[in-house]
Amino acid sequence: MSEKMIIEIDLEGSVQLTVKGVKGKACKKVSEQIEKALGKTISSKPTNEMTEKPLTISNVN
Amino acid sequence: MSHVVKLELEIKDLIALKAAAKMLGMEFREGQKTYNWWGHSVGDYPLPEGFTAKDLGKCEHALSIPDKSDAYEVGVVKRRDNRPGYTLLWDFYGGGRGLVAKIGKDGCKIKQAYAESVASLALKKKGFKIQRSVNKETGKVVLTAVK
Repeated sequence: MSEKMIIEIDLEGSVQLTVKGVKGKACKKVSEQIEKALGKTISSKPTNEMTEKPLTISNVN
Repeated sequence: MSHVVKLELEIKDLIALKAAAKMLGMEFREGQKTYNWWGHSVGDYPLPEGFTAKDLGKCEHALSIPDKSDAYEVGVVKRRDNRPGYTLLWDFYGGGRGLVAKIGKDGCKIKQAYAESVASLALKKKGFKIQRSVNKETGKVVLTAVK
């Protein structure tokens, strides 16, 4: 899975950064420099993306 | 693990600020020590931490509208609250003679352009490919970077 980063910048100057597709502590490392360049971190929360089960689609005939 | 980070923007990169000014059709005037404003503070709005009315009009650099010499300017000054980087000062009275239309209310457009510029520079340095979109309803800029 490729590394993906989504940066949302609103008109108040608030920035939200989401990192996807990176396992373990490396996830923090990927965004660290970007966070530092942008400013002061207010909050940082892990998402439950990695604990979600993949969706299985069955074709029942 | 994936994660979501919320950040308070700090202006630390003058190259990115220069690019942001260009995005808005403004000019970054390096080393300009004063910025154009009304010239008198009536004290009806709070100043950034560490600044007094005597500091207004003085700066390290300025942002200017090139084809509007009568428009007020933005002063770029070092922060005085023990945080790194710069703060932006400008006179919004009467729309700052066209300045507010350029930088947005409360400087929202220049802050957003700066954040976009600094994020794009940092992402490119790390080898990401960036796709940009704007939410027309909220005005939110979304950068989707993939590597």
